[in-house]
Amino acid sequence: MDIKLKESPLHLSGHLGEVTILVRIIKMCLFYRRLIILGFIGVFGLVSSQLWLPYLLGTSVDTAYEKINSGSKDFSSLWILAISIISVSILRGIFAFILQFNGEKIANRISSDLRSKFHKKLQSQTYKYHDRIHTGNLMSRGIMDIEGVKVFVTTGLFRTFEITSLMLAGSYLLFRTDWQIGAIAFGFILPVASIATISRLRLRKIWYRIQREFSVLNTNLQENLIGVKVVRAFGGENYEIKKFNSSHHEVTNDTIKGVKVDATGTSLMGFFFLFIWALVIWVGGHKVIDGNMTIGDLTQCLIYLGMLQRPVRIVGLMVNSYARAITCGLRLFEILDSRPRISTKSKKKEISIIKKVTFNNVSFKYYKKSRTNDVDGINFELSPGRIVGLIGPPGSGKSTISNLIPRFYDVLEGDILINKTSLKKISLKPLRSRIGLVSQHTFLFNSTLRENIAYSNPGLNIEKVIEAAKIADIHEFIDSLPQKYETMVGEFGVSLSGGQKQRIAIARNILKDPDLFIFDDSFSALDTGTDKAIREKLIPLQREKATLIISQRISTISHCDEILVMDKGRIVDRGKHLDLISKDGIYKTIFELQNPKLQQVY
Amino acid sequence: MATEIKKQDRKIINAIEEDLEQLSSYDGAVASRFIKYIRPYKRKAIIGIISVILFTIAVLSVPLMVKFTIDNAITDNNGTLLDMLFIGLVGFSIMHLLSNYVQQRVIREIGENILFDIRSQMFSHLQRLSMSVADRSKYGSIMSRVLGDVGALQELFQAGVFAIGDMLTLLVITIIIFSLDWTMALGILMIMPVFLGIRIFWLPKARKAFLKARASSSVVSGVLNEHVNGVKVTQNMIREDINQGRFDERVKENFEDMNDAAKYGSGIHPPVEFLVGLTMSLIVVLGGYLVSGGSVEIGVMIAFLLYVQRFFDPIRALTMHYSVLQRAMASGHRIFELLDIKIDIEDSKGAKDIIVEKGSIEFKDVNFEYNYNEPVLKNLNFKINENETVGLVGPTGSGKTTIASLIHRFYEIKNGSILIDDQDLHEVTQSSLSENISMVLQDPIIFSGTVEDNIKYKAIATREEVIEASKVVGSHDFIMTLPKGYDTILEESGANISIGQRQLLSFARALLLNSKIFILDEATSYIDSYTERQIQKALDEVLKNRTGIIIAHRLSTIKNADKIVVLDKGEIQEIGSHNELLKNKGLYWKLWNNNESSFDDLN
Repeated sequence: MDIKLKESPLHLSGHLGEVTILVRIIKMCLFYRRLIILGFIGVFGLVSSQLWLPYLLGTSVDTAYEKINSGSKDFSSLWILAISIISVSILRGIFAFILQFNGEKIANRISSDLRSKFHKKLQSQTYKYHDRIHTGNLMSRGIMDIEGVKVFVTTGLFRTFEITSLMLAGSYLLFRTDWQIGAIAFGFILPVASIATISRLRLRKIWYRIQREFSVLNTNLQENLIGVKVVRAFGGENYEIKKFNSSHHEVTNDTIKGVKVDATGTSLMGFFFLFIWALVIWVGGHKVIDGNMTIGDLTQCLIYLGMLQRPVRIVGLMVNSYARAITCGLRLFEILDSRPRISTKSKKKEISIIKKVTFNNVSFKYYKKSRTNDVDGINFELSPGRIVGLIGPPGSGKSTISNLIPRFYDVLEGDILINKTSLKKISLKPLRSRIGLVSQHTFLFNSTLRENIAYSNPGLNIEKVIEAAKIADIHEFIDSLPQKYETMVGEFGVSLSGGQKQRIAIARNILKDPDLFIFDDSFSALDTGTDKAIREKLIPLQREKATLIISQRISTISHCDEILVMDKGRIVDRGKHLDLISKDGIYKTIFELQNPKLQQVY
Repeated sequence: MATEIKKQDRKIINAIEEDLEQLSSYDGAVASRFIKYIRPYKRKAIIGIISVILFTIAVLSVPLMVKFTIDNAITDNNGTLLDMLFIGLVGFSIMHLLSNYVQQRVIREIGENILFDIRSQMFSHLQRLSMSVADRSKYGSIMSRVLGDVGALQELFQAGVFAIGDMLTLLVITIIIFSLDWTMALGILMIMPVFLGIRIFWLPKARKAFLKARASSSVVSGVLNEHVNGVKVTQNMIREDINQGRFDERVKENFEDMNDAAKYGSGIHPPVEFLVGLTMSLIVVLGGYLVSGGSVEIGVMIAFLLYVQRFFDPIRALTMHYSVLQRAMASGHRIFELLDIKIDIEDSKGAKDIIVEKGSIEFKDVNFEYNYNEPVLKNLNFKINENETVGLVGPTGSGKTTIASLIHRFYEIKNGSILIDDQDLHEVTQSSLSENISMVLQDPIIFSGTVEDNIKYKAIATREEVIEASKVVGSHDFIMTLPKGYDTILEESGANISIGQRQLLSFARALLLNSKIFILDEATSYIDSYTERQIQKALDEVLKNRTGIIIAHRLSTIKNADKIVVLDKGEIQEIGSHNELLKNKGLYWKLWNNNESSFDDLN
């Protein structure tokens, strides 16, 4: 997955920001007090039982060694030591269990919380927000970044305590046994911990690069598969292979670079460990010869050192998890802290019915920086029983108008009035529930047909669903499927044609029983016959509702009470069909294009 | 309602689990084919194996050295020997350093190289397969084969080599401890089966829990993805709360699965630690008796204590490798399945490059079927002359697009022959064919890259030539309004320009190829009337000195063609110019008179 921080619309900067992020994650953990306490019990239990082992083993060696000299036949002390070793080991296992289990549980809790919050935030974000930030970007945050925070909680948080206390207590005990050997051991901890950290951080950089390159490779492959016809038609096979392999080479080369860094790091760490071991044996050995140390003490030191080997190596992972948590947290909190621009919180008027919609000199543009407005100075009115048609070339601003009415975007200038109240003063959800907007792009959810049709109200009984499906002319098709309304659609179900999808979207909005219908090019994938049939069946419904039909096809809107012709964001003409075709203009041009036969007549 | 959700999720989870747990066991055929990929790296592989052996020796000899040091230098108060042994130990650490570096680097490097080779091979193979294979397969599954399965196979290689190291370690340790003292060795060896038993008992259960957590986690991601993609519908339908509830339900389910997995992951600690403790205490007691009895030196006991951990690690690793191996076998199967798909259209022996000067096309008794016994084209005979523009029309399924594909030899005809300038397509090279036919397809395909890259595609052309072509098709004006003109980077699948604009680009791309034959395969069907008019104008210009085939469902698009071929159910119904066909009073006339704008309205 591609990670692009630069795309972020907002930047938290400076080290202060970085620390704040870790603090914020830790604060979230502290919320689960019981689990945290259990986790710490695990940490300290594990560390203290672990530290006993070298001592017990060292003592055992001494006890056994003494028996040679004393010739004593009393082995009870050895048995006691053996039982202690087993008990300490069991304790160690239990505490390791407590630590890991509770640590992961907190991490799971936090990732679940974050997921839920993340989802909630995205569901409430405006169209503008979703237009600006790609789904892929949002998904990588929702998956990878939450994972990053999770890893921090498991690896970063408790392990930090476990490892630092293990290292501190371990080196203290080493120093206590023999300060010289303690000092040598310290000579081990420092270089190894820094090698681990450096190589981890370097690997992290390489890893990000590989991920980026991999996503290029991925795109290459995907495009090659989707564009297979173009590749064949242009004889681009070798070109494609070359293209693929060039990004492929990059991935491989960087991976091998990563391998080198990793191999260097781990082999150096291994070397230092062995070298220090040899030193300890050498120095310790002389001390034993000189009678300043027992063999058991030496064994104990060696085992301590062995024990320290793992945590010291893990320091690298730990540091990495911090670094990752900072990047991930930054990206994540940026989303969680964003505020929907269209607010619904303050006191708003709740409307229960839409009687009239008035566009009063409305202008709007999607991007502040655009020089021209995307729609400009729009005036028209929608009222019950009246059907208004909207036509114009692509990009003329038709869909924009449809999105302004449910306030998916806020107007820039002018005002939209609902029953004479300004749109901005009206509570959003009740307003939207009264509008049936069938949008241009139909989106079906991975679910049953029934769920998709009854999307606004899943509890609705099947009769109502069927009724709506009949009006939208899709019932017959659904009824012909083996599982009928329970048929799955989407990724894991049957695939539907564009026309079928549009009809489902129409049914979906019929079920909503709105006061205002907006059909935004929603008949485009239907053949003219079906288009007409559905529109005829809609007539009884439309009697008491206002309707706005947007289309590129003249036949879809020719019957409207008023037709608005748009070009470059403005309404350039309006009137009835017959008026419009009798004068030169865009409308007449479109009409002629779509009716080649008439072209000769006129 | 909840059960309904579960039912849907089940489907998804099953699909994922099936994918994850397609664990076939060891397969000799897959393994031996895989070994072939190692061949080019034989020398490196040998170096790798040698370094694995050296590394194992270095690791395992350290406790032995310690034993020797303690028994022969320290307890015997021999300081000079101790100094010499220290130098020896340092030597071993250097050997450890070098062999460790080499083994890691060489083995993983070979792994990466093999990965590269297989992936390239798969990609090249995909390029050579005919369209019929591309039609049948799903992109998703091919993608996962090329990317995912190859990765799993690479793991196999690494796991394989490291497993050799682990087995070697196990073997050598066993020999060493037995040679040191067989009673203590026997004690350790008795605990081994228990450890192995626990692992074998635990592993499948743990893996199941992990897979379940992973699967329910993908469900969460899937739902998140769906809800983000459908957010506009959701807000339009005011369903935010219901969606949140459903999402949270899945999150909770995954939470429980993850906790289950955590239970397994951490639950292994107590029994394992107990066994390790048991082994150590066994050494302590046994060793204590033996040492004090004088039959065993103290160094041996210490060496045993140091070996204990080393003994458990390879077993742990080996059981892990086993599941990697299983997964890799499944992946290997899928990879070779893809590589084994036969290339069905190949240049015939002695095929020559086609020479197209006039650009005439002839179909002689052509029969074709996609699936056995489902004829798509039946005994097709027609000829397109030099510089003629021919329109192909007909309802969906009449075979018009198939004709275009056959001219390009995307598919193999059943019998009959297709000739271009009197050269049989069977006797010319495919690459030369594509040099001589320009095609504009129904779905405009945009590759990631700049506008210029997209127009050029594989052609070597100057900026001027690109602009020239772009002006002819009428895309120049809109390109100049883009932020960086021809250097504007087009987003994934061209999301930042309209479909009409994408089509203009693919039109320019075809024009730049500058070939004698120009095919438009339903190239205007997704386009609004406005853009179509623009393209129409461009076409008149482009087709002046070319042979053109226009496949369309809108009659207005082909009205002005020299010749219109009306197809139905794989057969030619009528051929003639617009006016001739109107006089004929056939299918074409019927449509035209009903004032229907396209054949799709026929039903």
